[in-house]
Amino acid sequence: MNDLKIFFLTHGTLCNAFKALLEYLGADLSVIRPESVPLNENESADDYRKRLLSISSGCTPLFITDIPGGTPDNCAKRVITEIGKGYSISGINVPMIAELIRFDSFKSPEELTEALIRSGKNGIREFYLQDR
Amino acid sequence: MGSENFIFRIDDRLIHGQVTLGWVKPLALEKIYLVDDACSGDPLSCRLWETSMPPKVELHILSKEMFARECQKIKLENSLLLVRNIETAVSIVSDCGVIPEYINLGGIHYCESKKEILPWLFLSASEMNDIKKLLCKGIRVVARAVCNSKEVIIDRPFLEKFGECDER
Repeated sequence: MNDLKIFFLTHGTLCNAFKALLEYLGADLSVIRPESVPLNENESADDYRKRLLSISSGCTPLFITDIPGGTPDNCAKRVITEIGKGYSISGINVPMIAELIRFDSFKSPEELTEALIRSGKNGIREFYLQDR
Repeated sequence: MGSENFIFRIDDRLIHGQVTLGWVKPLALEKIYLVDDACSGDPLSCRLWETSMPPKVELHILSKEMFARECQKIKLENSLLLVRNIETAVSIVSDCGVIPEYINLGGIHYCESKKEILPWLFLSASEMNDIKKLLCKGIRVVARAVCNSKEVIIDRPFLEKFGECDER
């Protein structure tokens, strides 16, 4: 887990809000060291990919992206294949991010990614009144 | 070629959220034909694009040459034909005889020597001339991010506001 680095990747600056939210929820950002990388409106996919490549050097990236198959997600997968290591999870949401509060209790990146996906999925619930 | 729920889009990001959520899903398109020499020759790239696809939508990645060879047999209804740049679109129109009612300009992003036409559309002088070639074929060229956003018609008077086009 030592060289694992977490990146929030989103269209626009939503990723900054996820990082801020993590701190709001009480996480120790000095331990998790997450980085948010917004895809700017007029930025090409290739420029964004190069930016990800540059900030991923010397670490094992765990990219958490917004839309499956969106440009941040596509670029994350490309960077992982280029550097030959890393993880990518798409569909970022708040329950998923909240799981990172206990970041230092995970023993492996695989254990962490599994927990993030589980929390992300389980965090979507529906409530409605049948008879009003 | 105007009535069969067929979209011809130029977008340098190729398959991404605007394409899958903004066109394929609302128009119930069943197939994407991605015509791109770089992607078609790279099995890893093909695999990565496959992972970007929505469920139950077919992806066909072809080189320009393969598309030219196969296009008479390909049924383009309910599909999206996607290319990375205007040059490829011109070549498909000229060499393959694919004449759509309109061509949709998605994102073409900034690089040196290009002018900002819209916040997500930057064109060089040569690309503006390529658009004129499409207009000469009677094809409407419209810039539109997703299918329910407002379209911007890219016609000769519009392009001339940005200058530097040859009168070819």
